[in-house]
Amino acid sequence: MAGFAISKPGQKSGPGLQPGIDRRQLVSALNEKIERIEHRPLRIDGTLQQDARPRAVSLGIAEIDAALCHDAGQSGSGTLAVGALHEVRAETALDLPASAGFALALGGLLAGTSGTIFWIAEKQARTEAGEFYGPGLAGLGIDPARLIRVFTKNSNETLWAAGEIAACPGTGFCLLELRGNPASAGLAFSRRLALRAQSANMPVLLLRQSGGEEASAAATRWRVSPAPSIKQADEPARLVGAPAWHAALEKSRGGRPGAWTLEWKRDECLFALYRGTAAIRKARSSAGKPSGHPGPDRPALSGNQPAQAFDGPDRTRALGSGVALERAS
Amino acid sequence: MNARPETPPIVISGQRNNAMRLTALDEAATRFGLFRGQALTDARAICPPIEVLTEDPDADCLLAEAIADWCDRYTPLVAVETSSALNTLNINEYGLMLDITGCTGLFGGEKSLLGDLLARLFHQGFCATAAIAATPGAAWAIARYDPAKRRGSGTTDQADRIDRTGDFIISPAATKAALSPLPLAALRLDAETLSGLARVGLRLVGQLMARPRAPLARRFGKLLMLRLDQALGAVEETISPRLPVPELTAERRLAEPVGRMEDIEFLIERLAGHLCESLEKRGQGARVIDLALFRTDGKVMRAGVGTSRPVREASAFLLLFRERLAALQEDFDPGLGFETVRLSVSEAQILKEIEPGFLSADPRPVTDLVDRLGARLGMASVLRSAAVDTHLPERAEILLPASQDGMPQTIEPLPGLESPLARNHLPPTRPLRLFAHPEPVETIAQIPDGPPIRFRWRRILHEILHSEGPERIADEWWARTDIRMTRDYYRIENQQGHRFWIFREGLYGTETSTPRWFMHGLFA
Repeated sequence: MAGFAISKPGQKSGPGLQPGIDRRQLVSALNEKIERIEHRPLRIDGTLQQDARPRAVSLGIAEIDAALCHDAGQSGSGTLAVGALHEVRAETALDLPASAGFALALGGLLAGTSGTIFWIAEKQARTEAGEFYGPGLAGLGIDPARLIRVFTKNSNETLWAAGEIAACPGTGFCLLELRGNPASAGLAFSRRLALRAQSANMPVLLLRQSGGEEASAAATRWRVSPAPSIKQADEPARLVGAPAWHAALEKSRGGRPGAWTLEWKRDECLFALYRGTAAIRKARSSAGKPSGHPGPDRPALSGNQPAQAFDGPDRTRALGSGVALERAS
Repeated sequence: MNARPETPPIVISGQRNNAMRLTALDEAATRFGLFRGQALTDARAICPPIEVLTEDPDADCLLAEAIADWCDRYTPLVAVETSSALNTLNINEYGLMLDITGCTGLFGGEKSLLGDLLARLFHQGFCATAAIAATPGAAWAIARYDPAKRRGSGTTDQADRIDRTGDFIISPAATKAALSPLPLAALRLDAETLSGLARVGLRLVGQLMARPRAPLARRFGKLLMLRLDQALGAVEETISPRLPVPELTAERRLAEPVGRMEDIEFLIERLAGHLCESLEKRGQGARVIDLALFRTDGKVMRAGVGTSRPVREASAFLLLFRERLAALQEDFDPGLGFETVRLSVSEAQILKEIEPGFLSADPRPVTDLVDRLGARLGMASVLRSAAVDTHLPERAEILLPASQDGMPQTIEPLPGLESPLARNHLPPTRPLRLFAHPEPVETIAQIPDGPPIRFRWRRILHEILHSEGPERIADEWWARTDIRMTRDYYRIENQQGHRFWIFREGLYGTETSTPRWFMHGLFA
């Protein structure tokens, strides 16, 4: 690991200081050894991270993991870097809540279910696309008490705050909301954020609304829009169901782009492929089972048995990725 | 106001009872025989070249506040008092009351403190009168009604006044004698009481003191006797300082004014070091720290920072103030430099040393981060939410400064709030993003009290595919007096899958005949 410094430029090795430096080098070397054994990242100063956060996580869906990383199958480790900048884009303000939900979900997946979430937004964004609402966050399985809202007056303040947060260890993750393409948030800025995210091993999510194409140092870039909501097999079709998102992976370092329709399993904090209500209904009618009685071969989204409702990724793909791809293309 | 030799007399005029009257005037104008309360037309007839300015009560108030700010250098207990009720012209007369108990030693005694105060004010262009007495009432009276000078308009020569400063220090024993020859107006009485007293032949404080108290109190009310007792010290009177008195203060007076940021930061760190020593002796840490920079021209710049946990490290103080001063940017104007730098701890709390747990993460980096963000962006810009037990959606959550009282790790979900452990398959009933102000939408509904089939919001027409509702939320009649109309909320979804939370305000038929629709939030 090249991330830590054994001797700092300011420390001239005087005769009196020699034992201290020796000890520090020793601790540094030992830390490095622990890090190798435990796959724990080192801080820049050679000390171990307090929280044992992995370097990368798997999305839990083989199809997407394969798209994110070509050699996902061999390494067995994660495919989505934790200490990195991930960009989530919304076409319009109308799509923003879906993108924000996706970004929060992604951040939760990367950073775990504890730790403070910092949401940075400009003040006028509050009127444009509303403000995060505690009961609504709880509805997505995110504890509202984790969220700290940081409101800024201009993009310079936004960027300063993002830099401060990204450099702070012990934070959950940082969700940075930007509108359009501010001149100060160019490639250099995203590279700086990415570096800070990397050194603190903290995810930084850039939620960007109605911005044009722009070079960025983000590890992945997603375009997210809402998908028709998930209806349970046994409930009337006219009702509004649980959220689903069309997520298009536009850019992925070391991977290939793709598009899927995803749902969010808030109990487990995991994504799952969503096959569409039509597929569920079709599966049910072909199986010939009366509604309301979940059988063993019933498709996954039964409302009665949430704990058993999630089948493995391979089975999900078999049932309905066709619908998802058609919608997202 | 100082006279300007080459320019015409200046008077300030304001409208009183449908006539323009003089509310203030300078020394030159007084020499022409003009007086306060005179009609402006009369004044122009007596002295045609006068320059007339319109009064600006707000600016007067600001000036009084600014001078009070500056007086903070002498004592933390400074009060601005106004006395508009006491004069017939209804002009706000401002005065400053300084409680200098225990502060005189720092300035070499009462006399030199008074001299320093008046000299510095004079060099800023103010002609002030001041008095030191044992009670606020006596000081008020002597400063305004000393028999040696005439009332109000600054007729005495400035140099002369400074020479005579010593006259205005009244020792406690001499209070009674000093008050006796003053007119009764010196007792802060209103015009009605004064004219009543004049009718019975009482004009001087000494005459009042010689009279039996009971009949006077019966006739003129208790206030008269109270004022007299307050002036003489028989009844304790406290002044209400305009700024809270800090718990600890450290300050540095500089022989040479400083203006560079590095110098100020250096001074802050040194002063913070002193404060931290005192805090350590008390076993406390600072929660609110205020910085006051006294500029050479009398302006005072203040900046405060708050912390989310008690802090006792000088370096932490400096980090916060560095952000705070950076946030000021162009508002930070050192001018010709600052002559006094003062750092005070306004709020302190017992500091418990917490050892970071072996396994749990250390919360301090995050709280420090919140403080830094708050210092730079303003406390009101770094917020966390707290749940409120109410049915009204927009009140179910309030935003509080994140650094206000530490950081609660979890907020107990209230019965009304959706639990994070809600079942996966149940869709969220509350939107992810809520509009603070619901936006009106135009809707077309099949039946008046049914859900809409299409609606227009922000000039876009949405076809509704699915809708669920109503969820009826009525106003809380037990908590409020102004009852708003009942709302019927619907969760609706359009063809693209956008999910909205809209409501109809008012029950059709009973509350209103034309219910209106509003967009209140967007679901994820």
